[in-house]
Amino acid sequence: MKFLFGALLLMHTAASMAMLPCINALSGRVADSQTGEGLAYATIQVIGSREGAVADSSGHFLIRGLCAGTYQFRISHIGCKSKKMEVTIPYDGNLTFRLAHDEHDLHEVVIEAEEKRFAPMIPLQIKAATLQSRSGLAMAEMAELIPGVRVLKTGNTVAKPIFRGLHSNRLVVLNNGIRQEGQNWGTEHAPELDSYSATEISIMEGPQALRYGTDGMAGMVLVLPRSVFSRDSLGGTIRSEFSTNGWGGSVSAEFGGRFSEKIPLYFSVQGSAKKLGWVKTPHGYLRNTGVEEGNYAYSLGWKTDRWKASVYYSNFNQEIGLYRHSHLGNLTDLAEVIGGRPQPDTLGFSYEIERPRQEISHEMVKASLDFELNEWSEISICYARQYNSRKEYDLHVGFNPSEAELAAPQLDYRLTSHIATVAWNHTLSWAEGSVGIQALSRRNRAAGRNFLPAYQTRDFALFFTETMALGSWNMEYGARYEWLETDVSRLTNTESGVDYQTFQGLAIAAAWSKRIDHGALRFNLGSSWRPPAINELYARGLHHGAGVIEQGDPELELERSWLASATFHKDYNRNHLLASAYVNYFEGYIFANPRALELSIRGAFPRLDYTQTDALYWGSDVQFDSKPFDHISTTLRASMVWARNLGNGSFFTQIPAHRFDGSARYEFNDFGKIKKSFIGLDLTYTMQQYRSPEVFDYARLFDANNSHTLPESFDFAPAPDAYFLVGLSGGFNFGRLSMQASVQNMFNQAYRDYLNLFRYYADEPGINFSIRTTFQF
Amino acid sequence: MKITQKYIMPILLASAVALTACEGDDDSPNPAPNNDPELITDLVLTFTDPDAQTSFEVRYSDPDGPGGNAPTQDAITLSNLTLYQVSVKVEDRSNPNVIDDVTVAVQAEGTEHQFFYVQNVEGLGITYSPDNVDSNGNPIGIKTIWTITQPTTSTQTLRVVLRHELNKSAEGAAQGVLSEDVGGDTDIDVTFDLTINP
Repeated sequence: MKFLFGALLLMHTAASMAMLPCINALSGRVADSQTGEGLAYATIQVIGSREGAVADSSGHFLIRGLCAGTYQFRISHIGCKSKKMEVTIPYDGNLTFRLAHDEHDLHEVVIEAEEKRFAPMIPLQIKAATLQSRSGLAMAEMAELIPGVRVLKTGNTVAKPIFRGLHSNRLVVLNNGIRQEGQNWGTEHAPELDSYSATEISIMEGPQALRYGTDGMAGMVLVLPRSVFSRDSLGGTIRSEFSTNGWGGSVSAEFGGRFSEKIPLYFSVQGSAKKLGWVKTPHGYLRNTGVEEGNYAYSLGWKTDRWKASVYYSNFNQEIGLYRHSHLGNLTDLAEVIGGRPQPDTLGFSYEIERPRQEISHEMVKASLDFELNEWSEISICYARQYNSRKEYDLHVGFNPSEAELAAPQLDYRLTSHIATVAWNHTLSWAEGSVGIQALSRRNRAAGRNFLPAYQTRDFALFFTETMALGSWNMEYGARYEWLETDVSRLTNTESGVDYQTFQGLAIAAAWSKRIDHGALRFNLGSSWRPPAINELYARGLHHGAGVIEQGDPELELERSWLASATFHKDYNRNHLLASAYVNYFEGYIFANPRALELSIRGAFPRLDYTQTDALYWGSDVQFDSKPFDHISTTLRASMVWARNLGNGSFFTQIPAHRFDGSARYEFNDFGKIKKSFIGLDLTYTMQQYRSPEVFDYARLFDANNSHTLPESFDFAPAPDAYFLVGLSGGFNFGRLSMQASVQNMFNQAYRDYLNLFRYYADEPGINFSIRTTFQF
Repeated sequence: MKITQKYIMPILLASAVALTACEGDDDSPNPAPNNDPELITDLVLTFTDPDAQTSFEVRYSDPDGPGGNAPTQDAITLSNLTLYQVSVKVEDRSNPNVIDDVTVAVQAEGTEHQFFYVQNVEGLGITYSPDNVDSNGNPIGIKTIWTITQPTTSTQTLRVVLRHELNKSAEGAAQGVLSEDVGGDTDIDVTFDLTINP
């Protein structure tokens, strides 16, 4: 019925074309989906009519005399697969048709006109073709290619993204449009998602993020799996990665498309497996640093002219070993290790994962339905359920453990969450936006060592976002009000009871962007807030990984940030510059404040109390891409961030040190079936973090007249020295196959990184050779 | 087309519902926190003077574990020119109804554990009791003999350290010397004030 209706509509459009004087014009550009270069003399034809145009030498085209209505266009270019697509006239965005170079090419066909008309003018993202060069790595390590993103690590197996200096409770990760709900508070807890499922990773900054939460203090990380609707025919990809350091790798397969021409039912399935053994530093193997992972996901979708419905299910399972000698009994042990006590690490290689280790699983079900109400508005409904299980096994299991004690984890968190969103989206020629409500509930179970209590939360939020075209400017603005209540079960051997708390607040943001000649300019202002996280409110006890006693404070208030940022990008002939700068002021910034040396039966530990202060983060990220000669392209990047505790002028820990990197690539001419072959050189220089807290004075531990006071901020060891790394890479495409080989840390340099929580105990991995293949069918 | 439209949508939605009944379900009531099996809250030194047939206890106690309330501890007060038989007992008293004597387990895993007694000022003669050894004949240090020959003149302290997975054959370890070569992980590290009356 609906198809019939669609056909009638088309006929109606065709008829009206003949009758009315049509004055609309459509201009745009046809570009290579891989390089973005204009495709000279591409043809753009209106299907079912003789209207059309031929692009000029730079890919620009203009079609005049079009009526208002929806047209189907066929875009073709020699050597490319032609593409059919729909555009509604009048169209006042910047239209770019992207064509992939022949159907066996590994590039994706990206049709930007199908995306939002007011798509951000400066997208901070990495797409499938680039992600491929990092396949097998953790999501955070892939995201590092985005300006402003850095990685917080715990050994070589746990990697969390940092954006503009912020992470964990201050950085939301959206997996397939859903907030990732895990034990996000822990710096040693990585986002629980399959990095192979991502076809695009990007940063969302500004008003758009208000659809998902008030707590993206600098932005949100978006991880997008392939859309179930992305293929109209059957197709798939097999990818693999192998590394010599750790003697292992990963493999992933993905397959999907439309079941048949007759019914618009789409499906996709994806799975991946990973296994790596102990890594080797220039000095030897690190005991118990292996990882195992097995993940799968599938999706079904149904699409008609007015309906779009899909379900998505993903299952993530990971077991990771944590370096055996990173769990120490007390500070005396730590002082000895930092002072040079040799670690008994002369063992050989193994795949074994022993204690201490983490077992993580994450499951997500998402169902979404978009229903078109009329030509300019739609309702979208989305529900997702996530189940996150994290089991941590400590190094020791007490004295003379029983079988049951040996089998049980020492920390066991299970978080079940539900998110439901209903939004009304409208798309007009001069504005588009959305208004919606969202409800979220979480229930966290905690068993094992009493570090965090069990809790439940319920959130309700109202939001709106709007983007308007004002001359050559686009203005985006939005607001989100959120209210949440928390029940915390204080349940220990000596006390019990439920604490009830509520938090509420408004987050607002506005952004102005302007298209300039061959570039764009964007300013963003916003204020976000977050409630104190469960660890900040209720943590109590020894944090084994960190060697400190943490004490939460149930009286904490919410934390608010005020962000101003500017981003600029422009093409200058063969060069491209992307530069951004930001200032982020925090009111009531929650942090672990050193209070005193506290005695415990294991000896004295620094006690950190969660408290609030005012803080300032500021920084800049610059990327300069250049093609100085025909076969050569280069990239230079700088990432700089500063942070200060305004309360007492001290520094925070885990703030990224400045990093500068550069890469150069030489692309060869195609040779028969071998295409797009290249060799590349990567250089990375990471400075020492000279704005690091004071070094802890271990003499205090043994001082009988110990004053029990601590400096305003401290660290157990000085920040590691600056380091310089060299890597090489090369690759080619052969038909549907793409291969890349690379060497990391080519000179097998021993170094430590300030952003690795294990920098006290061990060096970073040494030289590694890896091979990546992608086969598309 | 009408038919597909009519049925497939509900099927799709039904499958969404079916999917939500997934494997990871957690509707169980919140489990009571089981204790940290490694938790030790109390350390008790029992001093016995075999000549005078008297004994007394010195206790370190932190029933709520690290953090929370501060621990309480007694001071060690001894008499000069006396020989004491000292035994150490470690307990988990986090649940006052179930007191767990961890010393038994330390004794059972004797090859992996050893107590050390470290003085800030040399003066006490502390030797491991020869009848408290592991299966390799190395001392465990639960029982010690203290020979007191001089009174304290300044602030003196005594540190009791329990190491786990240590190198028992490190030089001096059998004599109670806690050097860097001993290594291992610290389970207990408690410092008492020490007074020896003249």
